[in-house]
Amino acid sequence: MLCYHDGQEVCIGDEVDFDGTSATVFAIIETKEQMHRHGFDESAVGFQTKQYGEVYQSTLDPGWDESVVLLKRA
Amino acid sequence: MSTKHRRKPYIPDDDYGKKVWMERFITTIERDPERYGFSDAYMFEYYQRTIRNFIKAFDAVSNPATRSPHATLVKNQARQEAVALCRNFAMQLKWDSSLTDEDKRALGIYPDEATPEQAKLPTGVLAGTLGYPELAVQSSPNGGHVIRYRDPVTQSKAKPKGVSHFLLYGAIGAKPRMPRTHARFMYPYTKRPFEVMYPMDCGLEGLYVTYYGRWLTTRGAMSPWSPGVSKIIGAANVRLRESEFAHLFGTQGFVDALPALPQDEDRRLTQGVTQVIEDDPLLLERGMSEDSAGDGLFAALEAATVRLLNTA
Repeated sequence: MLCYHDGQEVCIGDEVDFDGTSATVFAIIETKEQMHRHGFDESAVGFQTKQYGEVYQSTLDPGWDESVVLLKRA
Repeated sequence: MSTKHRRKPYIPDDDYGKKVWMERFITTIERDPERYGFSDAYMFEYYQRTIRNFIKAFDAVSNPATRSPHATLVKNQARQEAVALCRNFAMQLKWDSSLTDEDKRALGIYPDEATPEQAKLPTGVLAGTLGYPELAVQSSPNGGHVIRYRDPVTQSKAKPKGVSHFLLYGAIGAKPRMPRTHARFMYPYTKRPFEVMYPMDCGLEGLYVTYYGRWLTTRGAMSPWSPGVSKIIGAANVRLRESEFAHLFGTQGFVDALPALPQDEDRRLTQGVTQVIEDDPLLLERGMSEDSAGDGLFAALEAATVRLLNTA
């Protein structure tokens, strides 16, 4: 289960603040199968942003805790 | 075991680990590019730029002042290119005979393969014990026995990891709970449930069969025995020639119908690197049976089946 910095679970459709940009969670990459499908070696979350399109953020990156804040539940 | 599983991982999974690994990799090559096969300066520059781009992009994402979704996007693209390039190049260097093992280790490449891992027997409920299958036997309306097996340690329907077959043994006698020293190998199963039908030609109706099971791993190792489950044999409408266990029965009952093997038949079987050694005297104890010649034949049948399974 992937969680935000405050401990809440990441869910598809969550609206978040992603480094100052509003984004919506559209993919959760957690299992080995999902990682393989998306070409990741680690767990990550896919965000849909208006400005940059689809952006995948690794949950192991130092920026995960600081840059992603849950705004509204799906 | 496949080569994939024997490889030691060299590029870490997380981006920070990748960055550290690539930094070491490219810094080592930069000291003497020609030593690592770069005779063309432009080619080396391409490798260097691809790897350094990722390192730079990761640093940008790590810094709160420069972090943004765009920086993350750039870092992800740079990582994809750098990882693909590093994997290809690292594997070329791994098999480059002009480099020493020390050179390869300095680059972060493991020149040696991991030792093959044995397909271990499943573990039991208690730590340090070996697991065994659990049997459930029901009488079927057509006179047979429907047998289900499972791993008691997990709720999963799957066989435990490393297990290829469930081996069924049966001990037939006038009373239930026949000891496993009487048990004879019946059949290796991969699916469940399955039904065992006793041919009506054999006159076994009214006798009891006690079933035992063992796991067989892909490497030919066998688990401890399961607890026995006894059932009375009913009248099944199947003839000897129609029974999948016809090879186990004769007109006298549960006896062998297989040709004898030479007395000095070596029971140690070799299949590639896999060696099946069945020295367990309890498996088919000769002294307990009325027909000791039959036991020898069953041992041969069992060994032959294990050999076939390993070959497969």
